[in-house]
Amino acid sequence: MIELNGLTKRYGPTLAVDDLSFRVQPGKVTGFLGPNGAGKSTSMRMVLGLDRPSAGQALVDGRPYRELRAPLRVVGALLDAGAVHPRRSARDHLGALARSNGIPRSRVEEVLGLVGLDTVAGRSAGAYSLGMRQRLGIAAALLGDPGIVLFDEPVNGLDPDGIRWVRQLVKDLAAEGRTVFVSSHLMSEMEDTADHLVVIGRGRLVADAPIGQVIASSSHTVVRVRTPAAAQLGRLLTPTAQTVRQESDSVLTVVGLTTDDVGEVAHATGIRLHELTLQSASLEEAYMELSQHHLDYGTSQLTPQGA
Amino acid sequence: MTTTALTTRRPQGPGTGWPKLLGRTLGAEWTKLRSVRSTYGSLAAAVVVTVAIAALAAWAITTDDQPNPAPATQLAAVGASVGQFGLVALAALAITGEFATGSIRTTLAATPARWAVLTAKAAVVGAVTFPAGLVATALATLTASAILGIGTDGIGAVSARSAAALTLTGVLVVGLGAVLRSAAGTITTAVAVLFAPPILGAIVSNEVVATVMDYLPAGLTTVLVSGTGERYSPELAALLLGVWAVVVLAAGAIALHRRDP
Repeated sequence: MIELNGLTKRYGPTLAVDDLSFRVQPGKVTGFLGPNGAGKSTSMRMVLGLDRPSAGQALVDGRPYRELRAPLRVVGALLDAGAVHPRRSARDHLGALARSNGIPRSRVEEVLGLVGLDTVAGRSAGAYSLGMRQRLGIAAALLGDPGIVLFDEPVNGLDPDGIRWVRQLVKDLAAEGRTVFVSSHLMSEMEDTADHLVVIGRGRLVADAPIGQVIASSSHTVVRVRTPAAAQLGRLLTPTAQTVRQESDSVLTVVGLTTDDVGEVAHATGIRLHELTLQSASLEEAYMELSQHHLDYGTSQLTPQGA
Repeated sequence: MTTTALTTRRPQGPGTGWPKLLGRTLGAEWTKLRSVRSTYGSLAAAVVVTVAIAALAAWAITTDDQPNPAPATQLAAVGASVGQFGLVALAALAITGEFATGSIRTTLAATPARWAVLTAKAAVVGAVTFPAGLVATALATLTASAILGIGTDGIGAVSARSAAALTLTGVLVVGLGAVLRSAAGTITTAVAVLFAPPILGAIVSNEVVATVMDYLPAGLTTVLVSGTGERYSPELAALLLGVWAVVVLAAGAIALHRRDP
């Protein structure tokens, strides 16, 4: 488990990370979303004990990272893919990391095979494409067979095959019961991999909720109702719905209620329905809305779910 | 490329005491040092330049009308004073290369104990600069003696003292690199620290300045390598140079601990 408690990072007058608190649970994929510059990488570097927080703390399995004596066996991290000496071969890079944490040499060949770099492992990392460096970073993260993995923008520079592979890998790791924390500035990356989302904007927590809930709570998720008694039904739904809008004589759009809710009200009052459909927002829309609200009002739109 | 066999087998955990930690870090740093080509280039440059300068000095003496040969070991020491910059470059790149490429973050994520990383780096740099200094000085002495047709008296002692001085300088430069982070800044500062005092010392005759100069790394190195000193013995010079190296290395460890990589 990863735990952030009031984590804050200040660069001069700028707050890069502002009082961030949340937990990343094992056994599922948690997406870490935010626009570029929102503070995702800074937060991840603080979790890894690289950057020192201005306030608050980050814990991995209940301990500060800097206290770990063989951290690669606890946390595997992919930070920027450039964090490799360009003149060193992939095999030597991983070999040095393995030695630093007392990991058997045989594991180096294992992870090289796992990421598909075994045939080019003798070449300098500087000659690698961005996608290959990304795979090398993932190999390094998996080296110690850690219970927690933390990937910062893992699909950057990957081809479609590679992207599919990373998505599957991330799901497999979570299915094995590991804590999986994956950052991205692209909502589409999360749509079919993440189970849970942590969204930040300008260094502050915007949302911390299961992915379904993020979509559901978006005002873009609407129930469309076609009925001869639109005005009457509209009045009946108004007290419980977030918003009810009458689009025409016979069409209502309702935000904040499910199709079940609307159907029950209609049935109880004997109103005839000709159409009852759910128009789900895409995660993209939900995200845009969240970050937009956040930028406008600087307030949280979704409360953290007791985890 | 496969997604199977992520393995749930957990290899036996390593020891957690600090000797084990330092041992593992030494292994990692050794792997890193031997796996980049610049290490071999710097070592070769140090040996070649040391021998070449000694040979040049010896040849210059033979062109005199009345050759008055200096001991071959003294010419080797002159060679080493220039050739040492190959080893300075090696020591500087061992640490600043990590900052330049961003791989310092990978290193510190794998070994959060900053002191262990820097100690191990200094140790592996020392482990290659000592034999390199030994070989370079001995070869330079042999070359100079062959050119001048004189003996190689004291070759063992001079080579060992020169190697010791180069090793301590290397450790100091590793610490300097951790503080300054840039290769250019570190090498420039090292050149200034090692070359400027002797030049200034030749110009300035102020007693206080001269005394201070004698206790800076350059002055200590001169006494250590030559084996004779006015103010202190070569043994004390070695000790004081060691103190300099440890102090600068500690400053590097503090910088590494305090600043975000």
